Amino acid sequence: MIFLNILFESLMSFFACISFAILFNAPKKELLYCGISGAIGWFFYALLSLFITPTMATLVAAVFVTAFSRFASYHRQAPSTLYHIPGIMPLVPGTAVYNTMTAALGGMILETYSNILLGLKLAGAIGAGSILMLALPYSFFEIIPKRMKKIKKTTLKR
Amino acid sequence: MMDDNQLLKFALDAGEVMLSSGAETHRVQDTMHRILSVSHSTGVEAMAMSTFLIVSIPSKKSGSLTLTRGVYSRSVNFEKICSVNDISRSFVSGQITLGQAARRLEEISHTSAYSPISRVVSFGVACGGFAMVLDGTWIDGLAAFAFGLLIGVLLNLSGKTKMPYFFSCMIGGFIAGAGSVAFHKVVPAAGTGIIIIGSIMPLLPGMTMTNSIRDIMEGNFISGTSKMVEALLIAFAIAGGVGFGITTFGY
Repeated sequence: MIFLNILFESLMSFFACISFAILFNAPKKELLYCGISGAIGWFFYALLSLFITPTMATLVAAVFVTAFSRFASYHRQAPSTLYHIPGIMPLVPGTAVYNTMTAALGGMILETYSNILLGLKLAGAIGAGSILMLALPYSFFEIIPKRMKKIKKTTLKR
Repeated sequence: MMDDNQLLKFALDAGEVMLSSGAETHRVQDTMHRILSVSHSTGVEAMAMSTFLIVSIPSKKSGSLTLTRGVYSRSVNFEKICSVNDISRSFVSGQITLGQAARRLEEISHTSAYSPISRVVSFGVACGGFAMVLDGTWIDGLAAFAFGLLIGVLLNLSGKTKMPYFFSCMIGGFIAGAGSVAFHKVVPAAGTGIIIIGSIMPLLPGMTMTNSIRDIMEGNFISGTSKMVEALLIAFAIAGGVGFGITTFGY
């Protein structure tokens, strides 16, 4: 039941991230991959946060999203940012920002600061997870069948 | 023999389009450096900061050449990043000449991919989708969709009137906060928190924040910290707008 719920949320994340990519003016033929990236990010985050802390889950989800976006970047011959940014959008600590604001309005100093700290931790985890994958050399992501290589050559000539 | 002046100008144009479309400074620097490496002089340098670009070619014949340019407009446009990437790659690999590359760069600067209506609708879908992702019910999702449409219309209008992004984020937060509290009074089943978080999610500076941390970790401290300040400013603006909306309508 929990698993089904996670799958449903990932589907919603897929659509949300496609709309995000439209807001960011992504090319129309890349929209599907932006959506997949977002679904992967939320799927791993939701699955792992059952077992480990949200910060660690965010870090691992960011690692998966960045790995996917670099694979897609190689296969589709486009910058990896295109798939990376929509993918990490569901992981952005919007809840922490909201909780900080409500705590500050209610005058609860301790909760305000702990939520600010949580937000910074989550943002740092996203950055660290991305860097872990971006540090790998480009050739690491070139594990592909030969059929794709032909396509790559023709697209380069275009 | 390639004209160094034109090459520098082309590199600056490409860098400006990329930086103002929201590419990371690292990527901008890399692209400009790749373009400059076509002129066979040693020690070409390309620098990108969050608001300006510097390129230089040292050459023995004509003396060293350096050009700088400030970049102040800021938006997110992946289409432009992709096409500049394509153009610079085919230029460096020698498939097109400098003149052709410069002309193609001129052409992409005026293209816009999606109509305003589809942008507004996708803003709404993004808000509703995130409300559903964060454990919201269908009611929450639909409410967030409606507020998202409102905020999308607002952002479209503010883009035309050149309102500061900071200010339009504040108004967006106000719409989300005030609207969801009012909606909660009409439909008690709706949770205010989820609707607000869903509606402010597309406004949040997730991209700026991530790029700033990436810049800092890659050793680009100046652009990283300045982007971090930008991200914090926008986050505070949104939080302020939401807080203002909630308090005016009574929590």
